Amino acid sequence: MNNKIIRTKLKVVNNEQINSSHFRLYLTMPDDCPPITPGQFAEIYVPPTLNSFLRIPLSIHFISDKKNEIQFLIQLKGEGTKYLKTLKKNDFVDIIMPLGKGFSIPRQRKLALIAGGCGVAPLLFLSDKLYEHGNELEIYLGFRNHNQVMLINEFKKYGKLVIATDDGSMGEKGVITQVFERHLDDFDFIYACGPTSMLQSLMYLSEKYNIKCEISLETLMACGLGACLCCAVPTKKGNMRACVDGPVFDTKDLIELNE
Amino acid sequence: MSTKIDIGKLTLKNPVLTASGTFGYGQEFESFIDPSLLGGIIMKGTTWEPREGNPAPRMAETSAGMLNAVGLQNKGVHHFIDKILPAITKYDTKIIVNVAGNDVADYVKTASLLNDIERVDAIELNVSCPNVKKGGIQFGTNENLLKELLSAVRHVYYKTLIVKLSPNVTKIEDFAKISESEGADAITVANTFLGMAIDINTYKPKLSNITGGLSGPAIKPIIMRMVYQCYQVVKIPIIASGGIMHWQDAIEYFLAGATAIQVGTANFINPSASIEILQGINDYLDNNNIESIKNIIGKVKI
Repeated sequence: MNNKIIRTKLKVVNNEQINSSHFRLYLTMPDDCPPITPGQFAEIYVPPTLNSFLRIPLSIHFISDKKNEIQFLIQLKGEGTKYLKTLKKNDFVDIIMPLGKGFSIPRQRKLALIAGGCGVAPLLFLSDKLYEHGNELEIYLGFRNHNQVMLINEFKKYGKLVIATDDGSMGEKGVITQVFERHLDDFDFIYACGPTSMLQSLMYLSEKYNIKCEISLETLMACGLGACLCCAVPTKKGNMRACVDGPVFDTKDLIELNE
Repeated sequence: MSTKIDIGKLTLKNPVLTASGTFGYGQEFESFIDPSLLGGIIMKGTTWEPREGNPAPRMAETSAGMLNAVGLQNKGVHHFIDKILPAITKYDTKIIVNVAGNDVADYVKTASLLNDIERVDAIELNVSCPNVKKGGIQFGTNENLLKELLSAVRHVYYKTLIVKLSPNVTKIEDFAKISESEGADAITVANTFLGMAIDINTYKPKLSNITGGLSGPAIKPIIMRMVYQCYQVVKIPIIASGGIMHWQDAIEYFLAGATAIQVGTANFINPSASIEILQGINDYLDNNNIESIKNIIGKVKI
């Protein structure tokens, strides 16, 4: 393996409710943590229940070097995430990280970042790193309605921020890919994470306007280490593993996304 | 205290193996454990021609287990020999290749090629993959086909031959007996159970292949019964594989009649599971003054 991976127990610093279906888990960074690229993920252990059995793969949401913290933005989905929601300060989490291949980080380019719903998770850390490398960012975040809108203050310090909601209750009305196309400019790169339909539309847009596009895919995973081949992603080079060949892929390598 | 066991012509330093398809080629777990500490590692299912496997989704979580329908994705035996084997020969452990094929000729070609590869210590014949249209489970669920296949493979493969049986049969003992009489050196009991799960919101099966193989602790009591039944009818060693999460599960299988065990699904949750299980077995033998692991094989008191 090229990347160093660690398994460790991290202490919970804070567990913050964001809205009705999302929360943010803050953990202390391990001392021996290998370098982490935005887009990489972690596998977090949750005690097995009648319906959940495997670790939960979660993209790394943010790293604060100053506070020595690593953050995860988590959507309440099943019993595993429900358990994570109950964690309190000073609890410990069994974690394996960093896993997978992240986004590329250019210098001094004009970039668009697009997320739908919980797809904002990896883009905060990405925005931070891209900004640090002197890039000009435009950030497009789409949500179902104003109740679901989150992290505006966090994102707006990195560049121009455009919010869209499906029902128009906040920001521009419409799906984020349509809103993005209206604003489309001479971007060098598009980065995205979100629902499959959104990513599929972006694949078409990136091809139509000939803009390089990297997307982070969410797939069902078992091992997260490249061993079980459960997280297959069909690509022009055959089936690849989301867990080690991704989760970030260049859209020009992909065929059609699995719903 | 000794954990040494014999499987065919091989002596393994301990009875802990990793199950095919759950441990990659060992390299994927180097961040967590040293594969050299294991009795052996069983490679991902390998075929003559490269295979793309099934479309996603290939996995679904279930109660105390999971379904998979990977469908034997692999780059073929030549890629294994040329590209993967050189990187793992350094492991001081037995390298066992799980071999699958479309038809008898396919299995024979692959087995025959691996017979001449010195570093491959044994093959585990996969006659039980539930996720491929051709080959796989059809050999493991039809006595005549199994006989034909084993006889053909035994003809070209002279090293240790393990048969990974399917649990999807009424009497697994019959397949164990056929394996023994056709010259297999050991049997693995067993592969996954054919299962299914449906998404109640979309009405669609959770797996693209509709059905998949069930593994994990959910299947342990059934495989335990099968190991026990096979132990009554064959003399060749039985390698137990089914829901082993902790060392206690392994000891239970030894008592039922297993000579060795495979750690599979547990690797996904705890990448150090195999080594922790080995340590637990060692401690159990020490604490109970058991001189050799061999002394407890099949010693369930009925």
